[in-house]
Amino acid sequence: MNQWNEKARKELPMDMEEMLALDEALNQSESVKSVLSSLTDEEPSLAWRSELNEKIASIKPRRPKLALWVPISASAIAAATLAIVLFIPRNTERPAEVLSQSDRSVEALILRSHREAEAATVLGVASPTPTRNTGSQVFDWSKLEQS
Amino acid sequence: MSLGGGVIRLNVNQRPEPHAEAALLAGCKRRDDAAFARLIDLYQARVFGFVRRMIRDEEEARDVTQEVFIRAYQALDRFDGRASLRTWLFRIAYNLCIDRARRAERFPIPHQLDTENESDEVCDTTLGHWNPEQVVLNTELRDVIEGAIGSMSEKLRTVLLLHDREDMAYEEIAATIDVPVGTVKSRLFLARQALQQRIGVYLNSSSEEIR
Repeated sequence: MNQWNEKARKELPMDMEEMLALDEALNQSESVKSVLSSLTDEEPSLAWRSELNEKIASIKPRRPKLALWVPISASAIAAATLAIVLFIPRNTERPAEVLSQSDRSVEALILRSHREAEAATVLGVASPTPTRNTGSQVFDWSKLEQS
Repeated sequence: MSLGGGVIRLNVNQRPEPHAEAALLAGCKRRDDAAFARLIDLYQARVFGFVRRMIRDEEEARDVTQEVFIRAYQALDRFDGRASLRTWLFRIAYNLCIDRARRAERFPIPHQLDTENESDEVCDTTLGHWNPEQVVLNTELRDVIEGAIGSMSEKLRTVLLLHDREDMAYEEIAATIDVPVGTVKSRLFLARQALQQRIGVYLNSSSEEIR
């Protein structure tokens, strides 16, 4: 025992056998662990904790000024744009068409009327003109074959 | 920022569940104040206990313990999670104690591990002429134990506290104090031997007083 004990004291490297002897000695002195475990730890005071909180708060990483200004200015710009879009009056009426003399002709009026009706149909504000039921019977082709 | 003190504390040898520790670490890394407050709640008493036994000045121990958590807060981003949070905190605490000691030369300067006084008389640990299980840890005995720990060299004291008090594995201690595992075992053996001797002397003297 003395040899490995001496080596342990001088922190010299041990061979396998000495290491086993050391492990055995450590196993036998495990009871010290239970003694140390039974020691109580004192809780730091609330004042101590409060002081620690303050210290941590003081080292907390702060946002750089630029990083603060970027979202603020972006929000301001967005708000201003929205205000412009919403509140500036816009003339939504179509300008009155000035009809020239040539446009007042019957042909021009018919053509214009046709275009407007077509545009209304395309936009879905007017249905296409229904086909009139002429009352004529449908031709029965089977009769033709029989004859 | 509100880092309110909680009520949950860990006793010696009590560890948070691995998934709970992982969640705690994740919260701390997100700079979640509540998570870091909980970390402090969990470990403040144990870290303070370790530091107080390493640095005998109580007031200084309080400052160093605060410094441990401040350093931890600052270094959270660099913590890779390979070691447990507890091991990491104790590593910070150990390094701070050593730094403080080297700066202020408060620890006794270790010479030949200070083992001349601690283990000249080889104590036969196999006989165990005192049974720790049956010993009631009265205030006097507690003082004897604390005194014995305090009179050890910093090297022995560190290993004894980290292993027997904080229940750290040999490998964890070896990594923390940067020595081989065999050296950790040797130091632990010598530290226990010294402590057993001191307790033995105390118990013998008190039994003689009773007679």
